[in-house]
Formats: sequence, structure tokens, C-alpha cells
Amino acid sequence: MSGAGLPDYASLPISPDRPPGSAWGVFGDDDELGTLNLIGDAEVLAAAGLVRRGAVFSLNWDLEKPDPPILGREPMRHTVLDLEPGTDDVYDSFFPQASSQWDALCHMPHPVHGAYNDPGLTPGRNSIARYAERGIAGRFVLADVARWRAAAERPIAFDESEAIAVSDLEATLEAAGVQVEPGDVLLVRTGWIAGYEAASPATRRTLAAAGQELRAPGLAGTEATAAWLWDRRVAAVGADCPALEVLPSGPWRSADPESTYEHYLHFRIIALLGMAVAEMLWLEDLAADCATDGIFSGLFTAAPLNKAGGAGSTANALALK
Amino acid sequence: MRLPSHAELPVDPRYPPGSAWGVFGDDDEVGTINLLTSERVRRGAGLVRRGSVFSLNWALEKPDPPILGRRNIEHRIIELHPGTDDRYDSFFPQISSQWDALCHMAHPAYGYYNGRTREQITGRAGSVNGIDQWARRGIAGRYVLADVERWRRAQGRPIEQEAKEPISGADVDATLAAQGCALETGDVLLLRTGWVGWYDRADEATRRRLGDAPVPGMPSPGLSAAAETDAWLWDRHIAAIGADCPALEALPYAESVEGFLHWRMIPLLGLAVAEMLVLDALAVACAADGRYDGLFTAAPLNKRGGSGSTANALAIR
Repeated sequence: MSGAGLPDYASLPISPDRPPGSAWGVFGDDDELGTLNLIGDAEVLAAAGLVRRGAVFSLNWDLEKPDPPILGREPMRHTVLDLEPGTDDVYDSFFPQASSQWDALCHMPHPVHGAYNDPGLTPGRNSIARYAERGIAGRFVLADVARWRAAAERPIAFDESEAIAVSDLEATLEAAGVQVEPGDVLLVRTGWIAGYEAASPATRRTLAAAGQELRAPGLAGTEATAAWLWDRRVAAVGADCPALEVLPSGPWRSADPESTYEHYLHFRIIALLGMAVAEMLWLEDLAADCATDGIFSGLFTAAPLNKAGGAGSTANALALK
Repeated sequence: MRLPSHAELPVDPRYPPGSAWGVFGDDDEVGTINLLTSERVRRGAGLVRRGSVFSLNWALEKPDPPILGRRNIEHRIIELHPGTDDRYDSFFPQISSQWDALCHMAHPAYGYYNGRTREQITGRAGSVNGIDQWARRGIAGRYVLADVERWRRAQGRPIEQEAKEPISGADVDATLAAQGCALETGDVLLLRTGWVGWYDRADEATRRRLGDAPVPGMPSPGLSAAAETDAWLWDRHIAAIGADCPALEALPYAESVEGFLHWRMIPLLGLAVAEMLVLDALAVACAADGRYDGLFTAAPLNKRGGSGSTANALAIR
């Protein structure tokens, strides 16, 4: 399905009985794929044609980073088992979203309206298995905001709550000479992983200890961001930072529930727009390559874990140029 | 690089007989995946003709009950208020569609690929021959599907799924010839036996029976463990081989070097092996238009020193 004929954000919802700012029903009432529907065979074919050099970039950070884990997760335990001869292994306390990851559409329902096309939060619906069964492949565009901001002498600090506005995204893309097309996978580099990798163990422990109060850069959690992503017909958006959006994600856990949902991009784009979101992607090698050859697009592929009822997955993503 | 033939191995007399140690360097921990050069990636990408995407990844809960002595994944859903997170315990990365890392199998006498030892496999910094070697690189290239199940059926000798049906290299060659699709150096060979699709249709009693069979495994189809298979695998110069059956090779295996292909193809040849891939839908598409090649991509889990990984594989054609 192409982006043509899709209602613009300003025209959503497509009927008044659906939540404001939602794309519920746009791809059908029973749809569980959301904006991945924007990637059809034609888009995949065109993206494959962008593989010119045969360079492959793994977008998957070290499975055990960040270490210690952030945002309240626990470290995984890896056991090497003896087969004599040979080894097998098993993971315990494994959080698929501890490192490079996908959020499933069931991961973050809107506190009032519910999950994508599913106000009642049906068990098993909108799970990561839907993404896994389909497979994800399409054209990626890299918006290396970190590099652009540094060049503009407004560098992004990896340990501050820097909200990246749509204007920064647009300026980055324009400077790169690349445009977002319908069905694209938009990759945003904030520089967070680079900052993390350069950080001392003491700093990493501090980041872990911050829990949900972790300060990190990311997209602004505004309606303008959601509208921009939807109107560009982005199929999936991924970043190198922990939550795609700036952290902490606004005062939405504060005492006044009515006023706080507006600050959380996750509610807007996952629950309401059905958009696929990836976080903590390893973009360093890809970004360096794009900066060198000036080409900021290529083929993106990902195979999320096929876990029934899963709320997310390891990213299992590659970029090919 | 010009690859030696199997008859020319080893490339140095200090290496074990029939081993490819040193072919990609003494310190190499990547093995045949080294054959996935940028030229091979371009070759694969250029074979995408329709833009159809096939996930080769079986449900993580299958087979159920688990086979070969592993245990079920324990999946806990954690309430975030609002939202949910997942936690897995007892998660064997090789429980379903998988890659075997080069540290998964050792030759009983010679040890691990390129002379590595068990003490060097720790899962921590410095761990050798781990799945992270392929994960950091990413896997992409040309796949060729050899639909042996379909070919055997056309021959009037359908594969029996609950029998040790050894498939020879010659059988695969004949299948490829019938399909009109030739292997090239650096290909990812996908071998369809029909086992995963058969399992999906099997009843509860059958699945219990399979789950109850201990190592060395319940009768199932796969490559023959005969010595000639090693030469066939190496001389085709494939980067990787993946099958839809539990162990690539026919089961149950015999616990001997002669009887267990895993003890040779992984530690001696450095071959990348994937198992329990979902190949039925891909096979239907290939049979429909007669094209048996395309782009294969896989992103194994980036686990330092991991013994294996979920397959995380796609076929795009």
C-alpha cells in the first residue's frame, strides 16, 4: 500500500467515534500492523535497488549494553552449557527491550483510549509476532541529527533532556540532500550511544540508577512530531537513544492525569497512529559511512523475534548500501 | 581469493585432516561467513524481482514440547502501568529457528574451529568463535533454495518425516538441476525437507513423541553424515547452509565423528549452519515462478561469546 490516498494527520480520526489523533481504522478495524502497511512490494523492490556497494551494517548494539541496564530493567544472565564436546547456552532474566529493540504495538497503550485499534487491550493482539511474521524490509533514510547539530555548533549532550524538534529533523535531511518518502524507515541519530560508549563505568552506573528519571535526548513528544511522521508516511522510526523521544517523557506520571498524556510521543505514535518504533539502534558505523559517501539511504531489513504475545523484541536489524 | 578444494585441505600439515583451519587466517573466528563479500551482497540484492518478503522465523514457542533436551521459554509479561514489557527466562536461543555459532560444536579430538579450546569460550570479554562474530558483521547475500521435499515427491519417493532420511549432496545437486538454479561461491543454501511444515500439521501425540526423544534425537530427515558430505559442503563454497529440519543432518545421529556431521562441518570447516527455518511459503513462491534465488539477510543476536542465536532471517525476492 502506498501513502497515496491516506488521510493527513489533520484529517484524523477517520470517524468521530475513534480517538483524536488516531489512525484507527485507516488500515482496517482488525489491522495489527499499523504503518508497516505502508511498505508494499514496490517499496521493497525499490529499496533493494539502493544496494550499490554491498556494504552491510549491523544496527544491533551489544546485547548486554547498556550495562548496568537502564530504565529499571535487570541484567540478563547468560549460562554456557557443556555438551562435551561443544557448548549450548541459555538466557535468564532476558529483557528483549534492554538493548537495541522494537516496541510492539501492544507495548504502550494510551491510558485513556487503549491500544491501536484495540481499546479493550485484547490479550495477544498487536503483539510483536505480527511484525515477525511479516518481516520488515524497506528503504531507510538516516537523519544524523547529532552530526548536523555538532556542525551547527549546537551539539546534543547525551546526558541531557534535549528535545529534538521537527525543524532539526528537516534541516538535517535537507543538509544531507535526502528526502523521506512514503513507506520509509526513518533512522534518527542523536549521539546517545556514542556518548554512552565514551562514558566511564561510574557514569554508566549513574545513568542506570536514574531509573525512569533518566535524562536523554530524543524527539520532542509533541503533536507536531507525530503529525510530521504521519504526514511523511513514515512506516517505522528508529533511533539510537533509549526511548526515541526525549527523556524524561514529560510530567505524564504527575498528579494531574488529564494534562500529561500530551507529552509522551509513545502514546501518540504507537497507540494512536500504529507506528513501528525502534530504539537504541547501533547507528555509529552507518552514520560514519553516510558521512563519508554522502548517501543517506539504502535497504533496511529486520526480523523481530516471533514471540506470541510479545511486547517487544531485540531489533535484529541491518542496513545495506 | 582462490579457495582450496576439500581434497587440498588442510592448507598446512599442522592443521587437522579435512579441516579448513587457516584458510581465512589463523586468527579467524568467522569461518565460511567470510565468503559473504560486498560483491555477494550486491549479487543477492540484485536478485530481488518482486519485493516479496518472507520471514524464515518459526514461532519461538515451537517446537512444543521442545526437542533435543531443551526446555520451554518462560515468558513473563510485566505491567508498566500503562503498557507492558517482556522478560524471558529459560530462553535457549537455539530452541527454534536458529544459527549454530562456531563455538557450539567441537571435534572430539581436535577441538573448536581454528584450534580454539573450551576454556576460551566464556561468554565474557575475549570469548572466541561466538555468535557475535556474525552479528557484528551482519549476514546478507544470495540464497538458493533447494526444495528437496518437492523434488523427492516428484520422483515418487516422498520424504518420510519421522524417519532418518539421509539426503546426499548428490540429491541436492539433482534438485538444483531440476530447478534450473546453480550454486555460486558465497551462496546461502536453503535446504527444504518439509519437516517444519509437517510439524505444524502434526497432532499433539506426535509432538509429544518428538519432544520425549532424547539426544541424539528423534528420527527426522536431513543431510547424510557420510564422509562425502563434507567434501560436497566445502567444494560448493557456500557461505552458509540453512534447513527446515531440526539438525540440518538426518537424526538420530551416531555419537562418533563418522556418525555426526556437526562434529566435522562446524569445527573443521567453519561452516555456518542454520536449522528449523520456515521455508514452506518461500518454496511455494519459488515453485510458482520458477525462480529459486534472491536476497537473504539475517541479524543474529549480538551476544558476546554466544553459542547460537535465533535465526532472525528474511528471504526477499
